Amino acid sequence: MTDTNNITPGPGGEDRDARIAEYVLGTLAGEERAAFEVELARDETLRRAVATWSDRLQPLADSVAPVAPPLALRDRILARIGGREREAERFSIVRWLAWTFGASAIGAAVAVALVFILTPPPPELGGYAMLHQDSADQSVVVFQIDKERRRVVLYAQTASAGTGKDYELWVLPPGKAPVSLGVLKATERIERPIDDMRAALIQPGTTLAVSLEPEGGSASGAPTGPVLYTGVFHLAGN
Amino acid sequence: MIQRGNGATARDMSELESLIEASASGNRAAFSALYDVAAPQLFGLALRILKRRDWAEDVLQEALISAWRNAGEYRRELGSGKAWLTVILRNRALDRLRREAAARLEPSGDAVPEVEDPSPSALDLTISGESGRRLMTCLEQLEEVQKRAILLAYFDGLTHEELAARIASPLGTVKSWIRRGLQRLKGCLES
Repeated sequence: MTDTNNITPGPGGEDRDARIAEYVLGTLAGEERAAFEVELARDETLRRAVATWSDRLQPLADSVAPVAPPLALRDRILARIGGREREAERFSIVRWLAWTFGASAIGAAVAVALVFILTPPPPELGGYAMLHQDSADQSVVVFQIDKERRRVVLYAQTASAGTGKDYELWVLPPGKAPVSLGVLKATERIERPIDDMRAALIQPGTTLAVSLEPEGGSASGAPTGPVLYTGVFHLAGN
Repeated sequence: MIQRGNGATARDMSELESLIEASASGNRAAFSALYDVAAPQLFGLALRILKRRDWAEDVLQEALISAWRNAGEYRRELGSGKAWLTVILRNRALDRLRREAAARLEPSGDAVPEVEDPSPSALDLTISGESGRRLMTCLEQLEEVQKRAILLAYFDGLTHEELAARIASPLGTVKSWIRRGLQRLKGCLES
């Protein structure tokens, strides 16, 4: 082996590309496969080539009919992955608004993770927002809406708002008062339709926020409690 | 037998990549969303390769936990999130197949139940989506034996040696079928 980095066509490169393809296909076995993986671990170029071949063959995997795994398996897997969430910052919506214009935010703690996710019907993603606690990079909430802008599915993983409390999701249209997108219970998943008026407010660049509210949601129709998560909405593919 | 195409939609494309990246920063919520999006397709593939539900469940669990731990290594520019997950799943599935095959040779090892051989289905697949149609077209241009060997390797996890036994041809011949088949496939896909 004189030039392991040569993946261009040529006698050595052809052989190397063939081995890459065979590795992805899975026909390399035993020592050959192990040796390839050692090389793979230290060679970025090789990893790229493997990814290229994986993309080429991906339609084969796509051709297999999906099968729902047993529900218990989901719980088992989620129990096995370590909890690494940070404690959430809490601050009032007034402070949050100030913070977006450059003032500082003040935090208190709550540990929670929520996901807002859209599932089919209409399967095409219209857009999404990754909501997080403050300016931290760690997203803790994913919000998605379908292309038809008909439905959202919200689901919470470890969220417990506490006795007599609920989470409430808001859209904050620029220059207008926040509009509620509904209350979230600490359940695994909530699927709900969204009306045209609210859907129209969710535009690229619009901020979404989750606040802590009395059970059943804010009685006044405006957020009253601390804002836990915020994020900006993006169209799919951007 | 495989009738259902499941081409990549805009939704699961942009979604999976975002969810893998969020998982990399330790976001369990994003990971549970990733599970819901990706697990059924991965489980279907695991069942297809392993043909045993208990093994497929083990392998799906190993693969997803590995995805969680290694999410930080995922790079968008290296390809789709789906392909990244598929590689992890298939590697785990192939490891399991080969470990079980080795254990079967041990006299004290538990007898592994015989499984039905669904190999004909591998030759009868329909794939939807633009890239799927392209791959189908290119597969159709291969010699029948090349196509068969490639699909058996992909869907049944057969090694060169196992393929040689299955197709009843010399090992060297099978190796060169596959090698030439993959080269032609690449040439066709890139043309």
